[in-house]
Amino acid sequence: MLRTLALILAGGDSPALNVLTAERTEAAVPFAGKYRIIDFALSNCVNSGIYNVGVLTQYRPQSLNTHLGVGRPWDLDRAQGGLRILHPSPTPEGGGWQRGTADAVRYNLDFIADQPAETVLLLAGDHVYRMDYQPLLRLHQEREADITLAVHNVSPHEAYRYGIVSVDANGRVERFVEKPRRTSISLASMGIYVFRKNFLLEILGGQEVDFGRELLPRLIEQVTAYAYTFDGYWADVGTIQAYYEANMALIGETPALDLYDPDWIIHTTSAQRPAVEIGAEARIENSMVSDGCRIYGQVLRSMLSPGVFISSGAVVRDAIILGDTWIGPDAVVDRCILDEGVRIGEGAVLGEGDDNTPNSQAPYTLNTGLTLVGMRSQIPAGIHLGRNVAVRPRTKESAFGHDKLVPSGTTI
Amino acid sequence: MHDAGGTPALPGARCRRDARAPSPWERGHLALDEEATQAGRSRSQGHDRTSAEWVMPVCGTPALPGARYIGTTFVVHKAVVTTKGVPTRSAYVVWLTTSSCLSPTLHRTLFQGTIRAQPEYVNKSYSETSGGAMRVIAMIMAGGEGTRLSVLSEKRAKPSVPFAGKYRIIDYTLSNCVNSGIFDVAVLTQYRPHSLNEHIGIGKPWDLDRARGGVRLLQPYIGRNMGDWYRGTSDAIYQNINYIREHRADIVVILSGDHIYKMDYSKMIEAHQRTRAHVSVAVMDVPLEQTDRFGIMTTDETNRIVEFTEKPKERDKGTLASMGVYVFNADILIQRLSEGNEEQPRVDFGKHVIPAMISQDRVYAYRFAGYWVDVGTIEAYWETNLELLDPACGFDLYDTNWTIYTRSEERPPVKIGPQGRVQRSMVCNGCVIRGTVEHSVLSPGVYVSPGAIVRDSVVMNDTWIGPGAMLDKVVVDKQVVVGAGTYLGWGDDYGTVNRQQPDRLNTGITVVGKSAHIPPGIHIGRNVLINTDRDTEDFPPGDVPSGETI
Repeated sequence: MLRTLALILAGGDSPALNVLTAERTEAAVPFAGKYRIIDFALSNCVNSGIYNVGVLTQYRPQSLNTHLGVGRPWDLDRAQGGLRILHPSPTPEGGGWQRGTADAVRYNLDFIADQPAETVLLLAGDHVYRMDYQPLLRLHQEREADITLAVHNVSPHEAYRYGIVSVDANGRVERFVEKPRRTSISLASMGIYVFRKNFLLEILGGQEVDFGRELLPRLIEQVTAYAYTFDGYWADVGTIQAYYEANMALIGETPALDLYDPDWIIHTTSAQRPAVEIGAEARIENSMVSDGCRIYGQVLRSMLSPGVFISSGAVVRDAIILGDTWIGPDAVVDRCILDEGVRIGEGAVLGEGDDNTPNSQAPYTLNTGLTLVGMRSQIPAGIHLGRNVAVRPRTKESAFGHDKLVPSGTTI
Repeated sequence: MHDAGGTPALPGARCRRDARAPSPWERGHLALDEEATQAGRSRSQGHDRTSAEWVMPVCGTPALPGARYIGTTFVVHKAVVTTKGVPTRSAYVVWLTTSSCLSPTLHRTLFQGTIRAQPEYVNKSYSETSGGAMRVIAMIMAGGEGTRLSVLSEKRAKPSVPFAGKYRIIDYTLSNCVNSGIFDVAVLTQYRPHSLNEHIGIGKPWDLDRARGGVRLLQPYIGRNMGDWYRGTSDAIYQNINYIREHRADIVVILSGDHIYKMDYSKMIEAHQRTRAHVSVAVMDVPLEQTDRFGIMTTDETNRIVEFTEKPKERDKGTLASMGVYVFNADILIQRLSEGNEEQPRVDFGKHVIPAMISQDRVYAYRFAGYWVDVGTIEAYWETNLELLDPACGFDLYDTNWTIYTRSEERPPVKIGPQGRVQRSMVCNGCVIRGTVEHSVLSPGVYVSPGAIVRDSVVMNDTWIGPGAMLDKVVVDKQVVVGAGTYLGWGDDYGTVNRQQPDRLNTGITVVGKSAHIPPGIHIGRNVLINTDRDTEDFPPGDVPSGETI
């Protein structure tokens, strides 16, 4: 059972998620109501029988640490193996901060070497998927590979976002190209690697800082590398639009990601909350609502995390609302992502009009009409916010000044 | 820090040390001890002199310097010290309750000169709970059959019956314990304990998985000289008397596991100590016309109980009903329970123990004003569940200062589909709603198919409601399958009572037991009882009229 050590990389700063990752690492961003993104990788581990897990952190780990605790929801509070949080520490040479995926693993080589494991499974903490790692590990064993990559079919026009792999008829990897500008191959690396432990210890002797950009393209042709094709649900939610779409896809009739499967439970740290309370005038359609929510207004096509309060007369449409946010009476929230603990004043309108001007500070990542509000911000009563607006975390009402209209594309 | 009675709490930090007055210890209190006893006898003579000083305890406790005085109640009296019958001076005398001692903190406060010369403390009693040395244990009665809950408690003890969606009835009492700072809890089980054992486990949801204290399940056992099925509430405690002894408890809080309420037991313990009671009984005002359903306490003006009448027929005993919550001094509890014999059994607290104690011990009432419900009948169960939907009901589940803890299953959020309609309801994680839910309480994992209607009902975990089915005023246990197009609770015939259980099912509520499979396309009337594990073949062809039992 402890023959495999899983390492989850959860230290990235993911600037493309804008205000959602301003105060937490991407792995700790809430997803699908009550979950955090890392729950998927962690639950996949324990559901695949892997009980020796290290989580590598660096960027803003506080929220993640609180969430993981001692690993109890995943039954990872164990005497043998269990959950270990591996955080950076200064080195005698003055370094210590990790500059990339390979660098992060290199800093923990001593830990890895001491583990009873023969195989190291390297995972990304910021992907949403359900995957049994056992077939992947079996393939790795059977082929006596040095390294096995999990790959997923992507559409060629999205290939520029991934490491692209070409394989021969036996599944052996011939080439690995990181983020190619143009390619006809559609097999993308999922950032899931299985290494022979000793092989991993060998290859990290150098100075390369990233697996995808430096190590793998160079190594792959010299070693025994295999690809394992995974055709289940897998999403990299590294951009605001991808995050939004992946959440919204779950609301559909038969989503590709089945959260209700009792044979593959996604475990998470659940807060103690009572049932959802739904008032007499409430209307909820096509939505997912978590425990502890109290709904007195309208909720349409939306995803609500625990403890959200929707006052009467308020309308929430096509929105993602994270934990304990309070929506005032008669407020309108349209195509928005509201972070935790946000307070929307009475009669405020968020996401108004047809003006789709991209956000002035993040024109490449916030241009699809979604308005974002950062953690614990307060939106004054009666204010109107346009599209692609970003409100930074902990913004006070006074930051909005006297203007009752915030045009599209503004950052506050 | 003033309590309800206006008595000042332990002065502690509020009083300055009077540097001029020497401590009685420094004057050698052992010499004063005998005189102090006399002073106690003559305390009513009250001599007012300004040179009063403190004298140490007189109530049988060895008053040796350096002795540890563990959490207690004490009273300050002004008294006259006499030597060989001649009054010599006046003194303040500290009276301690029996067999208890002062904590070091209180000892310092009293005898190193902090509360002397503060006349307002005279003739008042104080309790000391902040010393931390007092050991409080709670014992929860969770073995009852709850027969009036019909099939809901057929395969589980009443405290283990699901309530308000995701909770079990016992969660309220358990959460009250930990929210009151009691982390040493025993749960006494007997009837069908499996579901309860499973639910409580090692006590993790309540933070009761502890190295010291924590939750213990006490089952009936067979011993050499004793041990048998628990015959009643106090018999259950008596059979576990060694548990109390081994925990070296000072205070035992005895609770019932089948009530829905929020109560801070620490306030009751404070009152218990302030009144120097041997046992305190929590009581609440009930309407005069309901007094015949409860044990009624009659009290004097100091809240001391002078009479106890179980379910009185007359209306002249007052309206203070016992809530089944008792705070006992452990030594008195052990003593009184051990006195039982054939003629005077000590099997039930309400029937035997409390009535017997009224004449010889200090039995006090502690008034509780708040939401409290005994969900003992199907109707009370149904009504209380739905009552929680009303914000004005007086019980706020969403109160973050008094969280009700429970074992939460890992379930995804509630999913409400395109035709889903939910109003005035509570719905738990893991539910999928594609039909209509009105004024109902749904436990985790309930599936409501398109076109189905659930109205005025309580539906427990993982029940599947088929397309076009309708539930009206129904209580449905776990894992039930309601076939497509079936009407449960059909017609206006609320009057026909259930033929097999006329005393339990007579208000129009239809009840479905766990794992029953109800065939599609039939009409089932009111007051119908469908037993657990009934399969579709067990149903007669055609409709099921009101009052039937399957």
